Amino acid sequence: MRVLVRAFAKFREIAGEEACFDLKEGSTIGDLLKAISLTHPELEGDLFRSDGTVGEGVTILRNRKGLDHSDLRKTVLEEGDEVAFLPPFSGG
Amino acid sequence: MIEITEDDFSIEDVVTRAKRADAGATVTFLGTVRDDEISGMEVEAYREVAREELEKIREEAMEIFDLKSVDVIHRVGALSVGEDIVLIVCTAASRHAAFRGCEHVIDEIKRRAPIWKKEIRAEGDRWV
Repeated sequence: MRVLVRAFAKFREIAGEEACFDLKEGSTIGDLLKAISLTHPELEGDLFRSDGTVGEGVTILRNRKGLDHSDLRKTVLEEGDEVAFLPPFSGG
Repeated sequence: MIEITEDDFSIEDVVTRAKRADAGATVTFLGTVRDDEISGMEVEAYREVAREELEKIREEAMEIFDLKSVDVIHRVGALSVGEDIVLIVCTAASRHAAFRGCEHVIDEIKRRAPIWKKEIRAEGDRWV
């Protein structure tokens, strides 16, 4: 299964604007985030807290819809999904 | 009007277009690049999602504060000190609603819109 990952701002500078990740069927958003941090270890400190939960202020979008952090490990991905991971916002 | 743009804007044009017969108050918020020992700023947005979120914030503010109109323009790209970043123009029947509505809109943009600023500094750039 292939999903498209998009990154912005600080995360884009580390991981690039877009990348495709190939994952096993049944993989979750949590699995994808682990794969991203393995590919880009320098992201781990921003993406995850020390207890393994997603960092404060980090937003994860699946097909442009926000996901609750408590749902990441149970949200199963599908072929062609677009997942964006966003650092804390600072606009305005 | 909701706009995310690289281009500068005319506050006067936006205010003139916003004014209407049933609104006795027009409140504007203008955010600019502060001289905080930086040489400039870069603003980045996830445009499609940011635009949707700005639309939602506008609809909510109009309903909550009974506003007559809300316009938002947010710049992206490279900006120098003193340049405009964001303009919000709210109209309402009376000033209290327009002030409160405008404050609500900028607060929600900062909290919910996928937009980021990077300060350009001599000692190194920094995402804020």
